[in-house]
Amino acid sequence: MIIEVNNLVKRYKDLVALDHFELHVEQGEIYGLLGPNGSGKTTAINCMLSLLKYDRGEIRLFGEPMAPDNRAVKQRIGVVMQNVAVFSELTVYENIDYFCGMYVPEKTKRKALVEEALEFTDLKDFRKFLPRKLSGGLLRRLNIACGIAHKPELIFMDEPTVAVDPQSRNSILEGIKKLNKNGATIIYTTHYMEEVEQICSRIMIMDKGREIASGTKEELKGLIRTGEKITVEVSELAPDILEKIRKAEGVLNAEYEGNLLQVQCESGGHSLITLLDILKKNKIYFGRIFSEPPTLNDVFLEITGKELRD
Amino acid sequence: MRVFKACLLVIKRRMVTFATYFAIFIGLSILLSQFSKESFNSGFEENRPEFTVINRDGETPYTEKMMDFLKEHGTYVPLEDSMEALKDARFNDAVSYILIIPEGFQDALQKDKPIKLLENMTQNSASGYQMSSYVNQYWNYIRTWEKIGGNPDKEKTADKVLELLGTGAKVEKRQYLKTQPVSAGYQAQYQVAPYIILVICVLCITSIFLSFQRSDIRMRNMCGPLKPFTRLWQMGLGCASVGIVFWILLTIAGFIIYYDSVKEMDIRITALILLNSFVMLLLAMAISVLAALFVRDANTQNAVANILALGLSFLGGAFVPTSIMGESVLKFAKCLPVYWYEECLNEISGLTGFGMENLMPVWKCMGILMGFTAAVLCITLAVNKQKSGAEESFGSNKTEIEL
Amino acid sequence: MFWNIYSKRLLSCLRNRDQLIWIWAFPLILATLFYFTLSSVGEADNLKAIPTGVVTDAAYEADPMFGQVLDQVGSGEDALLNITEYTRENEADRDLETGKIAGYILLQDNTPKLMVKQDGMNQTILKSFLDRYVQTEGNIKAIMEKNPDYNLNWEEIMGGASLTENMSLSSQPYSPILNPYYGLIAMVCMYGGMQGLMSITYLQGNLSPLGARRMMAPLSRIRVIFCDMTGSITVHMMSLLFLLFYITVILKVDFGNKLPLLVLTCFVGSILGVAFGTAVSCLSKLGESMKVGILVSVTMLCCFGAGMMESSMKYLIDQKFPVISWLNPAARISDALYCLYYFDDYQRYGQNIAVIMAMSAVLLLLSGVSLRRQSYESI
Repeated sequence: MIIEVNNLVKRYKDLVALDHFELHVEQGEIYGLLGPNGSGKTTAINCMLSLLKYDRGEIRLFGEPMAPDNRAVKQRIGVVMQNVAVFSELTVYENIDYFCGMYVPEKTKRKALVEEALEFTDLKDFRKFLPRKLSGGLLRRLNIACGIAHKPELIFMDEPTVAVDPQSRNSILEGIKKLNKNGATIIYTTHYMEEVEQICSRIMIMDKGREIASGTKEELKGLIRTGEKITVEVSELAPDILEKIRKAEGVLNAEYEGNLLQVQCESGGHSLITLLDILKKNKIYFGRIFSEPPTLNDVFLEITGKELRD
Repeated sequence: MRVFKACLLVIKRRMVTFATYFAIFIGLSILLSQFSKESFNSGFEENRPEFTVINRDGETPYTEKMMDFLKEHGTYVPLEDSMEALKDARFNDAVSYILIIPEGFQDALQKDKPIKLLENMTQNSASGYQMSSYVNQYWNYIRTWEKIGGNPDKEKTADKVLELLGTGAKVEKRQYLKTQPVSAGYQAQYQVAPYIILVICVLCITSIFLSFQRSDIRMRNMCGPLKPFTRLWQMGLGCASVGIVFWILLTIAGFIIYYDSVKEMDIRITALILLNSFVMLLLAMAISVLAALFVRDANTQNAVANILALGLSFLGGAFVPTSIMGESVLKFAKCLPVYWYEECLNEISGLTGFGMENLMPVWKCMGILMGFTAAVLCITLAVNKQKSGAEESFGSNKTEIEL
Repeated sequence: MFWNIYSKRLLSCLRNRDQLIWIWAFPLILATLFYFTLSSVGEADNLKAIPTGVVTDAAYEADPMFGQVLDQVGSGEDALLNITEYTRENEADRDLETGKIAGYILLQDNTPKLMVKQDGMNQTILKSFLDRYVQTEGNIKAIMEKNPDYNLNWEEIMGGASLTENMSLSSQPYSPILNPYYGLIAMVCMYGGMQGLMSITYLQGNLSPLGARRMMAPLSRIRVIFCDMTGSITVHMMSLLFLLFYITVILKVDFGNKLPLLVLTCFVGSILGVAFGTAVSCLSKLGESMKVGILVSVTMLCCFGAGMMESSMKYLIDQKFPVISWLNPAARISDALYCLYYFDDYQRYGQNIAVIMAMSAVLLLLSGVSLRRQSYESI
């Protein structure tokens, strides 16, 4: 067990930011903390890093209690902050070298590590650039490079892809997977569910400082009644047939609007066949059919009654 | 009037900065006016150099009377007899003349080779010379009258000498104007005014330009339907009204602080002083617009404001009067507008009448100041022409988060 | 490790444009301005021949003695007066009005009378010259009355032998222009506060994201602070040495000949400046611009007290409120420099340096106490 957080409570005056928060992460995982803005993800990370004081609870990293002066633990951690934290007066290379140097004193070893980090984040062509000359995506990559250059065993990434174009985001995500493959355990917070679905081995959905669900994404999706969503192009649909569909087995809800029939199904069943049967029996001609599996947004929506991103 | 209103809003946002500068300036003015509570005197007043006397020879009627005599012509600053105290006072210009009466001086007065008094002053200084000649005169008279009287009562000799030294020539102060001349404090306030006028103008106008010149806003403005000329003159109007409001505040502050002396002054002189400062304001605004074309961010803005204002004011004689500047510096200063403002102010304060002949130098200085304003405006237009039109690029226009 | 933090710190200071402007360029510009405007301040009080008018009317012609004395003081290389003769009074009056002459003399009832337009040193010297003429006349008359046989020698008539001799206070000449420069150097020392502020802001997790990242490094904070401070002080020393070089070598302002101790003063001063910035930045409740505001305004206030703007201010405070003066860091730095120039012993210099070091120690200690906290209530 690399991270153990038990019963963590953190208050900002009247606001409860973390409400008996629990987290357990195994070695080799990419663990996603997913939640809307203000759900307590960053607070949780900052508490785990001992940057913030907390009111109650216990935090153990690598089996040791985490404290501000626990340098042995800090040595094994890498941090990628939500805000870009680099020196604006130092070049890309110097910045990485600086932060790496705080962990790795030997010069030759460090040089190799910095080169590796440059390679890894694809910043080789920009090594002599000052941060203000970099675009947003490159800056984020520099931010990541500074956090991971010393090859930490455990990496905290706090929304590393905020305000990054989709292309850069993909390369960042690929990079994170690669880090993980090389043996790093990663805690990853975001409010983009696609990212979590794409890379995380386990996910915790948070809201208002509490865990509302956790598990692999399949497990999470299994938690809810909602299954696939079927959309059928239909040129005409009488109200009584729509009513029939609604009452069919495994169908939660159905809507007909602008030539599109949307059917929300329960999970697990074979609702598509049932639906097509009904349409066929009533001699209704249909065009294209799509079927989408449930998303984490659906999970969040069903549990909390609101959208993940508003 | 959108642009105009926006200008005022920009100024309002940065009001705290301007108010701080202005408040410090006014605060210092008030402080200084309290220090220099001079009252106008129609009779002649001597300059009284600061001096100190260290008496190591013991108090006698001679030394006592000498103190009385010197105190009539100078300001006595008591100091303790230690090298440190004397050094401190001399180095910091607290005294310009130090006299030490060495032990045995009075007893040796009648000898062929008397013990000499020790004095310290800046070489070749007028005030030092003045005090030194008084001291020499006094002791020489004592010497002579001791000799004449045989062995008289010291008290009497000293009294006689003081009586002789009490006579003097008549002095009359000619007054050419019926009203009081410009009070030193009021003049001093207007002497340093170019600094505050420049600082505030540069800060205000560059702030306005900064917000309008920001590349994204410029892009938006350039796409807007407003004619560039309309936008420009509304901005000009904004700058001008801010400047004028500030000038009025400055004027009112001056009136309030120096109410007593201003009310005794000739109204025409006051008007000329104000006119002069107004011309200075116009110049400052022209300079600010020019500066605004080069200012790119808040930090350069502060640096430019301070360096421009300090440099121009210092070299123009706003802080150190031009009368004590070296020849070569003066030659250079004459190329700077503030010099002519100060010249004009000096001419105005020295006015003795309002004939053509009297006012000519004043108009000349103001004319030169206006000339500077026009020249700066021309340069501004030329620079602007070079810079305006479609942009080559909008520089490092960032759309992403700032560091 | 030390070198890594230290060298990067140097680099980032040297590349920071604001610092370049405020810590390197601005003092240089001020020094240049001081140089130009103060270059002749020493001569302001110099004795120069005073433009004087004399009305040479009938009364003047009737008193040849007075004319003779005027000739004497109005000629030669060290002439006291520069005399213009006017045959009519209104001519002299017109020149007085335009300021061509400081005053004019006319004889009335055998005694000279001085006409002036304003008060001033020149007018005072003119008056005292005429006073002395009248007094000498009176003196001779009185002597003749009292003792007609007394043998008056020429020397006595002309005011007597010189009874004074000059005494110097220090091996260095008096220089009225040094105080502003001393104030300027004190200001730059205090500007070291910016460096201190930057160090701490970049170190504290609650002040900047950079600080949070650096807090996560497996290094003891004392070491990081030490490396950072050393870097700050080095950079600051460089700017001070540069300024010192500019003032003493390029502008040729004489600071005395104790160069190593001058450098030591700058060094101690920059430690104080950095410590000051560190202490201010530990007031974590305030925003950064507020802290910069505090730094700048405290610095300016201290420098005002140290005589940068008004050189008599330091002496005034020294005399009236010695405690305040001893607590004013800028005044101590400026005083130490002054001691180096004008004093031949080192007692007061040593006291100044000791006070500066004590102040730095207190400030650093205070910051140390508040920096010990390593987790925050909120970020």
